[in-house]
Amino acid sequence: MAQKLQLSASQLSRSNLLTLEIFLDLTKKDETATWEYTDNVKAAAALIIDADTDLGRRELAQLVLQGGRQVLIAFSGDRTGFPGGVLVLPRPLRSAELLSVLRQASEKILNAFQEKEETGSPQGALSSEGSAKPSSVADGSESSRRVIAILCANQSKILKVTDRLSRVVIFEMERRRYYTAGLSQMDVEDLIASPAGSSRFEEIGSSQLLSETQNLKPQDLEPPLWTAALAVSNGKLFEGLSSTGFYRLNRWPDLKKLGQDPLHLKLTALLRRGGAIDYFVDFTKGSAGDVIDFLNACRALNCLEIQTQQAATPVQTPEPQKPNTGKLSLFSRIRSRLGI
Amino acid sequence: MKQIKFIFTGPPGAGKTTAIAAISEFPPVSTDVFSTDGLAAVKEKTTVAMDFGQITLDNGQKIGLYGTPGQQRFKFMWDILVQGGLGLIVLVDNRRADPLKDLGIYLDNFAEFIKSTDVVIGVTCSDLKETPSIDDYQNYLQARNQVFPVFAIDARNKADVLFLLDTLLTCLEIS
Amino acid sequence: MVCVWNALLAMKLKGKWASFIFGLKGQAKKAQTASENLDADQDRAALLEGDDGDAKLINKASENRDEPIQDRTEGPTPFEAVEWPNIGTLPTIEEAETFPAQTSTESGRHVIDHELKVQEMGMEHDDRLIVNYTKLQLTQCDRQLKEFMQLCPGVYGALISTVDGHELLYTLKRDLPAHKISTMNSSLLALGESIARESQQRLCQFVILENSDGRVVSLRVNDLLMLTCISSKEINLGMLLSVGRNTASKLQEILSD
Repeated sequence: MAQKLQLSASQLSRSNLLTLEIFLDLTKKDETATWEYTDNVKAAAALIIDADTDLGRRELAQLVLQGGRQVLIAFSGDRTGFPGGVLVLPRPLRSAELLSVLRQASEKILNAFQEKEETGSPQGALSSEGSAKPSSVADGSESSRRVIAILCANQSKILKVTDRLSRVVIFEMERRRYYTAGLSQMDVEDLIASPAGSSRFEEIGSSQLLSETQNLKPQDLEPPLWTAALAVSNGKLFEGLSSTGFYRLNRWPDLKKLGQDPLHLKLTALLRRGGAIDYFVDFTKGSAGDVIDFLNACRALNCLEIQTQQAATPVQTPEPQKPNTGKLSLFSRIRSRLGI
Repeated sequence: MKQIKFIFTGPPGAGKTTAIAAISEFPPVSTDVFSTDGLAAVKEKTTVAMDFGQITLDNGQKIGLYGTPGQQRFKFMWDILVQGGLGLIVLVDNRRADPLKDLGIYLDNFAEFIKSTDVVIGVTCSDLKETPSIDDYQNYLQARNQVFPVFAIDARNKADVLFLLDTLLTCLEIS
Repeated sequence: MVCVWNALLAMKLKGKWASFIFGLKGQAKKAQTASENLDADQDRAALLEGDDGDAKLINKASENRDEPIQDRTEGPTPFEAVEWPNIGTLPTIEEAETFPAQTSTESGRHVIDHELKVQEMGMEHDDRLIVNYTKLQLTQCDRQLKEFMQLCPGVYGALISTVDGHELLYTLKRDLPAHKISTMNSSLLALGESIARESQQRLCQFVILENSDGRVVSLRVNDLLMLTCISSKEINLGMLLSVGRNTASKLQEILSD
């Protein structure tokens, strides 16, 4: 059973606040924790502060000094320079990054709650339905029971999906398009991330597609597919992917419309060379969970070539090359100058 | 100190000069002259030698931003301009009759340079003409057994141009 | 010989008249490159015979033909056929024609070179020039180039080309790639003018390439055209520049309409 956690915000602009509240709906399907917004700063389990404002910076510093139980999240264009323990949500506000930060926050909170339970401390700021114990981290194989798994397994087909509210979305997988009347992109993301059992699937042909989509405009499937894949991934590989497999990119995902996450950009460049998960983790010094989430998202977009390891044939991972420090220093200075 | 540079190339009218102007610290030096052939129907002027822009790093080092002429009769300039280049940015105008073919020509002509550095592809004017889509470009590259970043951009938009450079730098850092 | 000439006129041979006269059949049959080639002889014939009364020098379209021919001719002037004073003898170097794709070898024989190496591979826009000059103007320009060559014996090439690299008219005493020279000099002139601007100087007058055994001088004629002079060291630089400038001025006058 998912824990219900509350999030508040300080010094955020009105538009960011509205966006935040909309994005929080994406956590509804999470098996670990769902988040809702509250104006009650003191009651919230986590607090997002706009650290690019003077007031925000001071408030953050003060709260860090006080050492409260709240998880603090700095919303900022800077990624470094914050005290340890403060999570960083990069500017501008994007759903994928918010979900990633909220996942980290919920882990922190649930771990802290578990410790308190073991030591018999009073309950913290969690609210849950019925169970005092945090639920176990969702098994990534949950994806196998989600709509996204069905879509991934049928990359060359046209699928008509009807949800439990009888709303219809037609997925033209090969051309990465979808057609729907009345559902927003977020609704489609929810549908893709939802359990497969609650929807009805039907494969249709191109003539039926033409007749059913006469008055409908095709929409780009990649953003909702990517977001949903990242949201449900939870650091566990999707069906068909192996932790010992060798992965290579066969087409470059359009990261410009998929969030422009710097880690994803780096992973994409690495994936073009090919390698195993351990190699990507070592190179990026990131978490295995983030790498796996990214691989899952690439899988959903069908831009991944997979070579699973056979016992007799070890996977050939490229030798990590000694970085040309002069060149890296130059690139770093170029980035700094251009602000990228 | 040896000058280092990024090269912007692509067919005439794709937005090379504009893209350089978007990020250069001074208005680019251009060598534009009046078009006297069919291009005049599309553009009054065309680059016949190069565009030159620049950014200066904090240690004083200069990074050149060079735009090549678009027409293939100026290929001799392409060969001169790529010498010492860090990487290539190909801009393709989606309004042209066959932008995929255009892309192929530039990838072929700069193949050696791309092999030793890297390339990123920006598709301009895709808001004015939707096909081919970015997906089509990726299919085209896949058919050529190539995997390169391709994005729809507005060459006038600094953020878009910086995104291209960011991607190119990431590729260069990894390689 | 008169019969031969009449036969030629009667047949209106467009592709092979020169080879017929000079017996250079083999060269006349040089393979044409892909459809982008300039068909110089067709253009030349059109110029000679005024087939359509159109006085514009038109290059053959390349593959990427997007636009129809822009016919901006006003009051076309019929062009009179060139008269061959000595039909039985080979024309001398001094009488070298100045139409595109025509070169003369060092031996003085005229050779129609069908093998224009157009390197555009479908990348170019329509190669038809939109410059609008009458046949009379072009003939007068041709005359100017010849006078220039006569005044400066050391000059072995004079080209009028567009500022974006297309050759328009040229006179060459050696086998030189007119197309490449036109293109590269357009880059050079544009660079020279940009450097002048950046140096806070105005009106780039010449771009001079001083080489060990010769010179190449480029200068602007008007907004659209430039003149390139190629000479040996035989001629004094001052003289070359002076005559070149005068020639450019005259060309500007001729083409100013």
